[in-house]
Amino acid sequence: MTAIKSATPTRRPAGHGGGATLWAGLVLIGLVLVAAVVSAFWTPFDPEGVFSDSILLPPGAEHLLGTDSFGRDVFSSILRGAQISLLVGTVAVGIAAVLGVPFGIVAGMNPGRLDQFMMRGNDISLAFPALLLAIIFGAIFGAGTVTAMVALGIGTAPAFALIARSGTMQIMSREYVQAARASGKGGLFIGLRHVLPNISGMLIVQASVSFGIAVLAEAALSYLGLGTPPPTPSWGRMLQDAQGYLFIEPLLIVWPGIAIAVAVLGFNLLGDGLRDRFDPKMQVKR
Amino acid sequence: MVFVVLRRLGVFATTVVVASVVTFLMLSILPGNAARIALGVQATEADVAAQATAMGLDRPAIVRYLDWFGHVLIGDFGTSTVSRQPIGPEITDALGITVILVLTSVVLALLFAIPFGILTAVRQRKPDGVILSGISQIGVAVPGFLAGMLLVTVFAVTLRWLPAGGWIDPAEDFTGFLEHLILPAIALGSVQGAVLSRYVRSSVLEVMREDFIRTARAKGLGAGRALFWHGLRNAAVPVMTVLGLQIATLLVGAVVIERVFSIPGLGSLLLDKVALRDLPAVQGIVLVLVVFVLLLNFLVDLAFTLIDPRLRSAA
Amino acid sequence: MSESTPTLSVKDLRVGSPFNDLLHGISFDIAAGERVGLIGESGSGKSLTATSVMGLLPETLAATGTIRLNGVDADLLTAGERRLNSLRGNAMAMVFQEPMTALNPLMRVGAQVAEIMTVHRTERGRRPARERAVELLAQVKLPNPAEAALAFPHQLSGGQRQRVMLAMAMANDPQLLLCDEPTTALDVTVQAEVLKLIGNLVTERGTALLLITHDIAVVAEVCQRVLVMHQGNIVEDGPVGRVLTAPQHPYTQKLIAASDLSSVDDRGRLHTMSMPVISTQRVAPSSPRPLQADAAAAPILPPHRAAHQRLEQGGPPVIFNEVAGKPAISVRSLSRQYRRRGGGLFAPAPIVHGLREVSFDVAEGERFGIVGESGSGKSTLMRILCALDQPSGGTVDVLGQSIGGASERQLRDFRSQVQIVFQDPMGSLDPRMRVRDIVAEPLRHIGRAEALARVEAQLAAVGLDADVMHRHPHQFSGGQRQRISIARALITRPRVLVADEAVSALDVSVRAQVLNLLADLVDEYQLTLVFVSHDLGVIRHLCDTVAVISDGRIVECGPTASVYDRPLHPYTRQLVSATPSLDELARRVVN
Repeated sequence: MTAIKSATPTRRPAGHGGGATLWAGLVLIGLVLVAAVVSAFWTPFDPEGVFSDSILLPPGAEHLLGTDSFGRDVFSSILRGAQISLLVGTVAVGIAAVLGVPFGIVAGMNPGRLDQFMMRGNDISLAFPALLLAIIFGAIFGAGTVTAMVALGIGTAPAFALIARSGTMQIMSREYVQAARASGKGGLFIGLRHVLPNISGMLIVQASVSFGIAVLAEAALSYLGLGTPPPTPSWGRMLQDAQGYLFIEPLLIVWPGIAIAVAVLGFNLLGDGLRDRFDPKMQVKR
Repeated sequence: MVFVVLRRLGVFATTVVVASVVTFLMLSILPGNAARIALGVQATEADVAAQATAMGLDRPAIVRYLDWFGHVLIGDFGTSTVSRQPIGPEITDALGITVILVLTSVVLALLFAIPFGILTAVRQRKPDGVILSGISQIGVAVPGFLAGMLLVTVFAVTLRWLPAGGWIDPAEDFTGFLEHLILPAIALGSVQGAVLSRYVRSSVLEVMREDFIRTARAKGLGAGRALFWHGLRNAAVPVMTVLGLQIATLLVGAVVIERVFSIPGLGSLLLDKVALRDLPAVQGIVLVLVVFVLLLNFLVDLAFTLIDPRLRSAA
Repeated sequence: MSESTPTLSVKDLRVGSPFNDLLHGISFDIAAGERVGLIGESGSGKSLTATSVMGLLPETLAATGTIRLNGVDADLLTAGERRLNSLRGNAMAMVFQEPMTALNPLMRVGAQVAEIMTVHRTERGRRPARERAVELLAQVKLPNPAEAALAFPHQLSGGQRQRVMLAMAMANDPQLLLCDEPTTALDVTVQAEVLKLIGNLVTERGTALLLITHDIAVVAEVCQRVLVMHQGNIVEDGPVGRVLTAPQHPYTQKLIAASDLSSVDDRGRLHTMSMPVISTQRVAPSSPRPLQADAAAAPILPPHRAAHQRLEQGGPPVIFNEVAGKPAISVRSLSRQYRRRGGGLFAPAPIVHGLREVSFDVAEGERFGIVGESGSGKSTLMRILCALDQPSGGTVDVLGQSIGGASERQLRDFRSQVQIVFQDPMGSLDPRMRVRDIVAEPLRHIGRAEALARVEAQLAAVGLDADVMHRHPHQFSGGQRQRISIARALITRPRVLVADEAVSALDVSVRAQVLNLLADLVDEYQLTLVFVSHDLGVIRHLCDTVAVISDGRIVECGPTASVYDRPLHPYTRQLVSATPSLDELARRVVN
């Protein structure tokens, strides 16, 4: 209470962290985004048909990355597959944020019984990881893109709730919140005007990391046959198809693998870069 | 101390009960009439009604829950609606396999993550540290099942050193068991190890900025000794938290890896039952998986208490 | 002094980052057994000096010059890590500011003290080192040293941890002890004890001491000589008595004048370092506070003068500072208990008594100080007076509004009448908001244009230009932020202003300016001021009446001068003697 900090020099100027990491992440995400947008209008070949005259061709001038067991151009499928990854990621992260953030803020603003109760609930939800929830939902409602997105969204929400809660608790101890309360401001005002803007940085970081996890989960679901149904191309199902031909054409698992890794790496790097930029601990030691 | 453990145990038991309620609600109530699901859409109303009575579905939900959970506690998971066989023995067999796979992977992940994470933290600004850190970033981005396929391609398809899949009971043929365990365990463990090593790295970096490390340096300990004697135990605390949270991820990772390597564990069993829409079986398997996660979390929590004296007195 | 080699000799020390220079070539010697203070404001480079000597500068900074320690043939700045490791903790040792974080939380303190001896092999083996550690803990006057050695840091108080740090530092009988703000984070009474301990230890063992602090009183307490540091230079070097009574460098003169809360100029204002830039051209408030009807009609009472009373050990509860007529604040038998965190759903949390049976009045227009140490309950009391917390028992009336059980709706008027200024100039302003929105926040039911006009007028009243309105808080210094906080608190024209340690985080020079501003504004707006602080000096300067609070009870209350000069309660006596005025210090040092 009476602590007065003596001057410790700022180890590193604020607001300049994470430069290279951030840009690397943005470039990789940009690649995936371009693939998704371009493939909406144009792909070298139709990625959804069956072409019995071009089965399992090796990479070459015509088929840049070769063709798969249905004779489809792998490069076209990879481009089109970006769409479903980004779609599932966006919707799942959106659902997770919409559910988790208000939950976490309410818990963080009401320390005591309510918070404890809500957090026990959150702990139990954490024991149902997103992928398991998606499998269960698949069993109940039948597999599909919508089921996968909703299940992944619900399954990711507890992570957002945890982050939002811990951020909220930090902000609530700040004196400007006390000042707002002393001016008669209610919980809603404080939550929207003071808490949310000040935790938005860490929420964006969480969103970025969760996006990568959602892309991974979507790939796993599609691989298990519980994701996007054929004929829509998805990276996970390309891997499932390719597994049957491991002994004949092992390269077929490499291309979708690289696509998944690029997307996930992009979002993870973006998250790391943003964390360096936002995290006050990295800038000024308190 | 004993009191703290007992209290944790109480919390754990409550959590298990709540989780069982959630599982029951999801798989017994949410899908609607289980009798119709079991018989299919072509069944007549009368057949469905008879089936519902036979399955005990005409009783109130609370009674059905208590009946189910009561039997689970004595190891009876009910009867499959598809095979008409008891589910319990299948689950027990599969659980043993999954536990072996998961625990081996955790050990492998830790063996990799701790030294690797420390190294990348200590060499943070050096070129080798940056390169190693980049490698771990890529490791995080590779899905576990892809890692499994790549391992199969290299070690089973190309080099033919190890089998591409399947499972052998250790009691039957221990060498064969190890041969079948090694690739899936590495596939699962390496990806988790990459994730953990990122946390080890950031945790060590954080600890290196702590005041007590400066105190240790002022006492005359070199940077390395200060980190080793004072830093690592402190860095372990946040890593343990993450490990607790990662266990759930590791377990679903195992579900997918079992499919890649055709291992008859809980994951394969779950996916088979999901494909058959055998909801009573799915319900039992999900409960076992969730309780397994909660149990490991509970053990991590206890380990925490042993590491951190501040938690011991906080009753 | 000149005939023997100095223990520490620093020559032309320069420290800089690639972007700017932080130390501009400083030189000084410390003789064997000499106690030297290094004083300066934040950012002056005093901590860098100490870390340079220890060889613990951050990697991003580079140092040139020479640093020599007696008996060491190498220059410490160029010596290798291995060499430095053998000297750190052995020939020279250091105590840091933050007792909370400077010890390893997972290791028993006895083991941490023993470690410094096993590292340097001054004790053979673990067992003798542990035994010696217990002896050392006894020497730093830790109660039950054998038991304390087995404690973890979180089980000790701040003062006790700092004693452990001292035991550690002195374990190998260093030639030189460096202390960086060793008592800044401690309560005043604890600070006095720890300082005395440091003084005694170094005197007994003939250790040379370099004590870094922002507080002149600390230097005067312990040191023989003082170095004054300003913007990376040493501007004055001399015996403490001489520097205190006859400072030569203009900076030192201003620093000492601003530190002296008992001396004022002919207008009753504190001496500030940068002379009146702002306060001469202050703008009067745009719309004077509407006079309360009853206040205007009320007969003019004789000015209130507080009675000087104390709480007797085991005696009945006392109503302190009872006001005839209608007081602004009236508190009766106030108690506040709360449950300590750490309880859960399954175990009842232990109950802590924050306040017990507190009764007092504050008269309209009075400047009422509340002084106490951390954990005394002063913050709880402040929060209840502002209706940020609810009493568990008793009654609290502020401006006729009862706080207990009042709903936010009932408090609506109250909220604009009672405002707060907080301690932390970093934490009290939302970093995501612009100054105009921060200052306008307490206003309600008012148009945008009018709100902006009032913000501008209010900023002018605290001495800030209108163009600050569109900036964010991080663009301001601590003092400026505190002005913004004050503007926010006054914009609703409150009748009661509560200040919570409002100047404690500020440098001495800025502190004087903000105190002057507060005093002016209190007069101008006819405010009732409640000023909560740990610093008796600040309260003495600003307040008419002071209440001393300890362990949840008011133990003494009365006119400030009377309490200060003739304390009745033993706790107050302890507090007063722990915070001597500069005059007194100068007298003590000279004699």
